[in-house]
Amino acid sequence: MAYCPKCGIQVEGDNQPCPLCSFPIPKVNEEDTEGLRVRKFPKTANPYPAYMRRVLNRIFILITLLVFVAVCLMFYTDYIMNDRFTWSRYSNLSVFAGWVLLFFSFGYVQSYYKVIIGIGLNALILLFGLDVFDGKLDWFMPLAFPIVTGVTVICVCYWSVIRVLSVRSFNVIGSLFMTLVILAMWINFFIQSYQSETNLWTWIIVTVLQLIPVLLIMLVVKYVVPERIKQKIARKFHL
Amino acid sequence: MGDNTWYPLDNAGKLYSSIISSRATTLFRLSATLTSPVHPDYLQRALELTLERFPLFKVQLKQGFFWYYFEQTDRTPEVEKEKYHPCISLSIKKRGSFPYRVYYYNNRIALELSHSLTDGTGGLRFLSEVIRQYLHLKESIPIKQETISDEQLLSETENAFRKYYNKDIPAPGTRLGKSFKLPLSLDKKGHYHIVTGIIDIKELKEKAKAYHVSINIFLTAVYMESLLKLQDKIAIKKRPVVINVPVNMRSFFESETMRNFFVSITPSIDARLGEYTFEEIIQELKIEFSRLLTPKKLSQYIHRSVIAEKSLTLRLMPSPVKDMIAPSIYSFFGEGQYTSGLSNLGIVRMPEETEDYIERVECYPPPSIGNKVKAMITSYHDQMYISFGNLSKDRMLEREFFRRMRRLGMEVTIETNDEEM
Repeated sequence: MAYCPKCGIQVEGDNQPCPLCSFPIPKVNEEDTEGLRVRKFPKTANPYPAYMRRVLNRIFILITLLVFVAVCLMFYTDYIMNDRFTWSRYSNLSVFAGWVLLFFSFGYVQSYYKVIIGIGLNALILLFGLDVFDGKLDWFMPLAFPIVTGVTVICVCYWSVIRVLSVRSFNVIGSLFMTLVILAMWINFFIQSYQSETNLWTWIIVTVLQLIPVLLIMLVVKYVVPERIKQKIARKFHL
Repeated sequence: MGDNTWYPLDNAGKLYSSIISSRATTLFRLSATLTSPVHPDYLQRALELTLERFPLFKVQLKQGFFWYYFEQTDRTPEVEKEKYHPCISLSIKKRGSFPYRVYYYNNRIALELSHSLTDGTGGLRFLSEVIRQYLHLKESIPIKQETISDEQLLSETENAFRKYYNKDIPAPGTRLGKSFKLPLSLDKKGHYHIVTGIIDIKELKEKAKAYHVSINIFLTAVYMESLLKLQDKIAIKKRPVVINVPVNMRSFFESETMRNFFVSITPSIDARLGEYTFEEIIQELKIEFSRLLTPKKLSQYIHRSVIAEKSLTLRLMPSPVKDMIAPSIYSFFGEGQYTSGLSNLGIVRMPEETEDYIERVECYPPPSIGNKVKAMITSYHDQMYISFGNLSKDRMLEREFFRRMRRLGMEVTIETNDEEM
């Protein structure tokens, strides 16, 4: 029998952390008793993750069936009314895009990179369809394609930055604000260029001017704000 | 007995059946460790024989329109090798599931029962019969096979709450208000952490005697003191510390029932009044226990248990709606008002012929979200087993309690279920 020097309680096995305070209990038995000790509890299984997956699968299958029925109904109604597919192409493509989003939100794809790229592609296909259904591409190339591709690339970059950060907490928030600025400016650039009002240099200056205060706040938080306040903020925002 | 036999649930059972969730399973464990490894075939046969003696347990929980009820079944539960964490991962509402399960692991037979079926006393009687039958089959110990008469069946399945309910007695006027809560965060679903402390009962008796109180009051006082100490350390605003202590009503009102027959008293210490010494805590608890533990006072608590289910609104509410609101009501008026629970099953007496084959008897409390850590106590032979059940990984209360026991000069041996995770 071994004792925890901090709690004073007795435990059967030595050379392991105390079950109450995690203080390492030293080895006291001369011979190795680990193999001889009879297990008191089995190696336990946890049925809940598998159970939750089964429930989610059922819900997803049900939704898929409903989507399938809805799509068929819309095509059918449209065809009966107009003798060809008109409005149903728009609605069905949107419903399909919604279904793809659900597919990602149900956790069938584990890697966040794949999820971000998948959602980006989904948006591209949806927007391409909505633009092309009236016979010609109008706004897809100058607006939708660069914006969606840009947003996807920026999101992938943000996720990569978050992953490599050794200290997360405030850095996550700081880089989030910086990403938002870049994102907003990226969208802004293509909308302006669509309206033929772009001046690349002005745009770059405005973007940098917005990024500087965010960067400054991050530096202040890191080097100026006292540890006590930092901890308080971290506690309040669950960082 | 026909196949259509059914039992309405007792008052406590009605509440417990509505609050069941994947975490708050309402399952508590009673287990006995034998001197030799358990043989599953004999155990299965023993369970079948026991169910013939206690037909109340050969039931499944069904949902009625207004209330849940137990329906007699021809099926027999199967004993299983232990594979999950204690008191968790059993959905008793699932079709075909029983409101309890029998596990075996090495030398241990564990019975996990839902509180909707019975309480600790009823469960212990069932477990001791399973063990008696098992040892008869395995070790050929001589036993007298009992059969159950209709009269006995009636008295064992009676709703004792209703029997001793008197509508003229007023309910106790205790509104507790907010109490101190331990800041524990829940662990993953399917995990339940047990810490059992084993203490020599003679040492404990001497210590309690020195303070002129029973072991029960003594342990409650240590529990209370540990909670007060924790509050001092971690809480910014002080609140009363309230412990929920179930009382076995069979000691005060004659009843043979195998169903729930307990009420909860709630001794408390208001930490806002100042610091309490251990002697003061003991004194307060002594007065509180002797004030409340009389048949007259307890009949008020019976009244409170019964009156809830007599309310017309509640009776007319469909049971799925009850399922939706019961957890919030329970957490608001029930366990939300307590800091923790401490239940003492007392000295467990197994049938004399089986005692030589039983090494120890333990019990684990049911997991609960409102009181993430609770404790349950049994004594068998000359050892006392204090088991904490905790839905969180943080063992602050266990640590405080057992360190205090050590400081009081008692040897404590600790066992946990987490080495096997």
